[in-house]
Amino acid sequence: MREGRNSLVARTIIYGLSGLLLWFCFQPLLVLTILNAKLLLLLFIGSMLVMVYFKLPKWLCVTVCAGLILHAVHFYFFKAYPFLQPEWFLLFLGQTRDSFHSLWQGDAAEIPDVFSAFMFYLVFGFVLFTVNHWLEKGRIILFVALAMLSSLAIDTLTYFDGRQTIVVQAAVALALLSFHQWQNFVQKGDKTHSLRMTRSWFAVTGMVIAAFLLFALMLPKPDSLWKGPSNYVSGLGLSFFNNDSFFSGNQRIGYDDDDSRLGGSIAMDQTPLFTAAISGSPQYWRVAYKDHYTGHGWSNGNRYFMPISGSRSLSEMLTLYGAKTKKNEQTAVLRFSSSSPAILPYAGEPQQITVPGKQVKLDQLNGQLLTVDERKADQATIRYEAPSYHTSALRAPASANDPQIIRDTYLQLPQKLPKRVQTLAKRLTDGKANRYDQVNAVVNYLRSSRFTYSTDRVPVPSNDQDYVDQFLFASKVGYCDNFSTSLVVLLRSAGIPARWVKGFTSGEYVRNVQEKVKGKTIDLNEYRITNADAHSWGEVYFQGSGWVSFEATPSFSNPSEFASENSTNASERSDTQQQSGSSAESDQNQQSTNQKEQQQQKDPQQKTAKQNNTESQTKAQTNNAGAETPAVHWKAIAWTAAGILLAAAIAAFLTRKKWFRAVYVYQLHKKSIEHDQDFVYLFQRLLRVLALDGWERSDSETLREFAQRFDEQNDGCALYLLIEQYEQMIYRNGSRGYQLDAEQIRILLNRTIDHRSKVTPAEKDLNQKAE
Amino acid sequence: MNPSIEAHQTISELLDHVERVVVGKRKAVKLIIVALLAGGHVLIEDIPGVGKTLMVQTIAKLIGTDFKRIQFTPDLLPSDITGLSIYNQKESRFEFRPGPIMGNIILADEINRTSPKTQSALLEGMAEGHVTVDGVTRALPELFFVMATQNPIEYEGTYALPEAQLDRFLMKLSIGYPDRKHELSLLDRDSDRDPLSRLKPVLSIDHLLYLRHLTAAVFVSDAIKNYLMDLVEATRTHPSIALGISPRGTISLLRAVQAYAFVAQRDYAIPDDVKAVAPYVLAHRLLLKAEAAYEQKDAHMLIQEILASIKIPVSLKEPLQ
Repeated sequence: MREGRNSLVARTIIYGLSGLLLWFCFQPLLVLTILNAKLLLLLFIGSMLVMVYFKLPKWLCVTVCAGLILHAVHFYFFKAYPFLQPEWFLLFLGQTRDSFHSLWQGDAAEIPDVFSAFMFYLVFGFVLFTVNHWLEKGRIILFVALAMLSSLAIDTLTYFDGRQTIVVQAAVALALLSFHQWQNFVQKGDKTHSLRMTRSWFAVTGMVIAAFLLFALMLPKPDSLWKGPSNYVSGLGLSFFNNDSFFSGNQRIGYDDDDSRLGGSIAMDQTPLFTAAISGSPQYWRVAYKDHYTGHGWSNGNRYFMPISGSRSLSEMLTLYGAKTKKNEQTAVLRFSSSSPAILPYAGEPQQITVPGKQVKLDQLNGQLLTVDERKADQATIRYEAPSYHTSALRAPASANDPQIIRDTYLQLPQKLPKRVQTLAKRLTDGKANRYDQVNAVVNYLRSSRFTYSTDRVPVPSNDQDYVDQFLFASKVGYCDNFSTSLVVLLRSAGIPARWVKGFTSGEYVRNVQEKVKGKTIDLNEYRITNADAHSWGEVYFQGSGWVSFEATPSFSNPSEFASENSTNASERSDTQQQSGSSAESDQNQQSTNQKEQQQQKDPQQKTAKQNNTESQTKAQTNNAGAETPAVHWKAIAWTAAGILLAAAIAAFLTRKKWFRAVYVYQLHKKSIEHDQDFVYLFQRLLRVLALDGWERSDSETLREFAQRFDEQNDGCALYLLIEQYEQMIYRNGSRGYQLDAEQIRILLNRTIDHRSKVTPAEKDLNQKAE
Repeated sequence: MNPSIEAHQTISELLDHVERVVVGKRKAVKLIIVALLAGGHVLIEDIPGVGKTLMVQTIAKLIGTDFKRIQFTPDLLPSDITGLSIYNQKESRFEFRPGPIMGNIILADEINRTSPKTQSALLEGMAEGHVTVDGVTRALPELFFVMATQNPIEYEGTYALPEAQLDRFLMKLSIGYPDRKHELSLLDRDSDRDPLSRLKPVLSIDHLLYLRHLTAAVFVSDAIKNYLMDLVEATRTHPSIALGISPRGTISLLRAVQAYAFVAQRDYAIPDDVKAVAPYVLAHRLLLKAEAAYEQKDAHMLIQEILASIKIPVSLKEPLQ
């Protein structure tokens, strides 16, 4: 009965701990891959373990497992479709078939994420069944070893940082092994001391695990010495693991609807999303703009969709450019690939959009176009007006304040935005005569070599860190989101209405195509836009000209055309760094002279600013140092103390026999022998001392047998005499026949403790007396 | 003088005397005296010529009584043991002639060579303390000690004793060959042809019965009793044992333990007593499964195995009074 309960408890705990261990093994996948739904994975592991724990029939387990896998696939990729209808399933089947085709062709990079996710969950299922098999067969050590090995491999070969989790995982593994061993004890069925043993067993293992956890978590964990193991993995030719889109984890890849939390590295994924055949020059593709900066990113805000129908044309609903901006009407034909999200990007100011078989709606707050059913479109034809800004119009001093609605919406800044951002914005824009120059000053500042463009090793701001502040003053490494957001925030800080635009760059030129648009066949240039072309930039409001795009990210150039008043043909990329002197227009010359002048004017300012900067930096550093000094000391003390404690604990543990023996011997020497209890107590202490010295009595050995064995080796009979006395205490009833007095007992005890020495004459007398 | 100390002296005297005659067999002698004090009977299984008869003769002489010897043969009849009524023509009536069983100390030699019927006549007397002849129940003397010998079962022309009857022997032991030193001394003793004749009794039957009384009073603590029960229960659950120790066996073990403690001059039993007597008291009562034979284990080995697996009580469960 009791054994049954024990083994049930052991089984339950072992299954629980195994689940935990599996959870730790799978956890990196939440970070490394797009399978980032914690709950879903928990549900999967949990329900599978519960099923195998209750030993439900195999067919049921497999069915539920398959159901869970399908649910996961649906959850990640076909959320828009109802789960219980076959529509998505057929789609999925088609993709699976294509994937097998790609696999057959050896083209692992072409495998869509759906298939990868499906295969991963399939593997989870197999792993769970295998683990169950191991648990049933008691091969826990194998399971634990493989689990730890896999976690180590993931920590080594990927950027996943498992420093803390691996410690906890090891602790769980130890606990699992401890319970497994205990289960073995229970199964052996040693009834007589199972309870006592259970207690001491778990006391010991619990202490070991607790000590391990404490020290392992506290110990410093240096960075890995091998910096580029992922390159090594790539070198192995495992092309599947180069599938950036699947192994992107929580990184942003390409287009993402949610910008509320920016930061971190991004993966460059070359999955084609759509092709755009356009009639004019290459354009940035706008998906939406956002106006509310939270300090961490751009909030999605409210949405206000209006369907575009015959009565309300798109051109009326979405106005980007003012009267002073010249517009060229162009046509674009977009074809979306199967991996494209449900978006309808547009260039310039769209006048008309046609999606075959679908209605289109517009989010009037974010300028986002979508089909009415919010599903992916296959094709879209857009008639749009490409802007050509007049620099003179942009430079013209504003006749009045910006409209109230613009100022209300596009000057928003979070309360917690650090003051130094504003200071920097003021410094950059001060002394500039007009808004256009102010904007260019900020753009140039961001495009300067102060900042490095990079898509990896971009830190994620912590909860109390401002995204822009972190980029501008701390990390100075980032990609388009960092630059564009900083631009917008800096401009807003300087009182210039600006907003953040997300979309795609113009993509890669593919070929020249002929498309039939409205019955006319026209020559178009086709560009391919991939996930890696996802981009963001800033837009600034100018009275009369409307919204003007600015590119703050280095190495990207603004596709907008800026035309001077006088010139008709010449176009100028606003990107001053890319300016070439080849088209030597007077205007340009003038402009560059202006800039030079500005530069000269700016120089002293900059110098002072720099000095200030350095000063403030040094100051900050000193401050920091001042603040951190006690912390460092405290840490050092804590570490030293912990180290000493650990060393002491290890030393005490290694020399525990000596300690115990010393304590017992002390008791044997000092404790008075007045009552029988004292003697019984001391005698038991004596037995412990002997056990520590290597003289251990086995359970089935009688005291006399033990004494004989001992006395034979040690040339005496002190222990035998003591045992005779002790036997009377515990086996005899009532009065005793002969009794050693306290002094004799003391002598015998001491003699037994010093069992390495020879028999003393006094003791021989005593022996004779006893006999 | 303390009566128990006196008794202990008598016992050691008895032991010494027997050993003087039967050299080098102190352990066997001690066990036989244990059986004598515990009021049980002894079965000695051994080859002929190791001194079984001599040992019984010596003990009988030291108690100051005679011993009767029954040589069991295949044609022996029950009445040859119990005695029979003979018609006395002079007095014209049946007269009971007591058989050899009516003695105090009986040597039943080669008990397994006679028919079961005859064996049972002796065993009934051993178990019940009386025999029934011609419808009259006759009590056996108060001191009634049977030492039976048997040849090893494998020998030709033997009737193995059934388990129920083996159970009636307190102990089964074998004397075995003396060691070289003692056998050499036997050779030297050739001139002294009859060491028995010079023996004087060291105690009377009444004294022996008093010693038995003292033996029964030896204190056995609860811890030791539990230890006994652990042992007995282990024989009942052991996988190689078909039939474990019966309650009669348990009581016999307790008696033997008390007697052994008494012989060791103690008035309380210790675990060593149990360990010392358990193989002799328990082994012949076990019925082994065939598996044990395959594993080439005999009852003695199993008892040792069990002894080695049971924890000895070495501490007080409750505080001392």
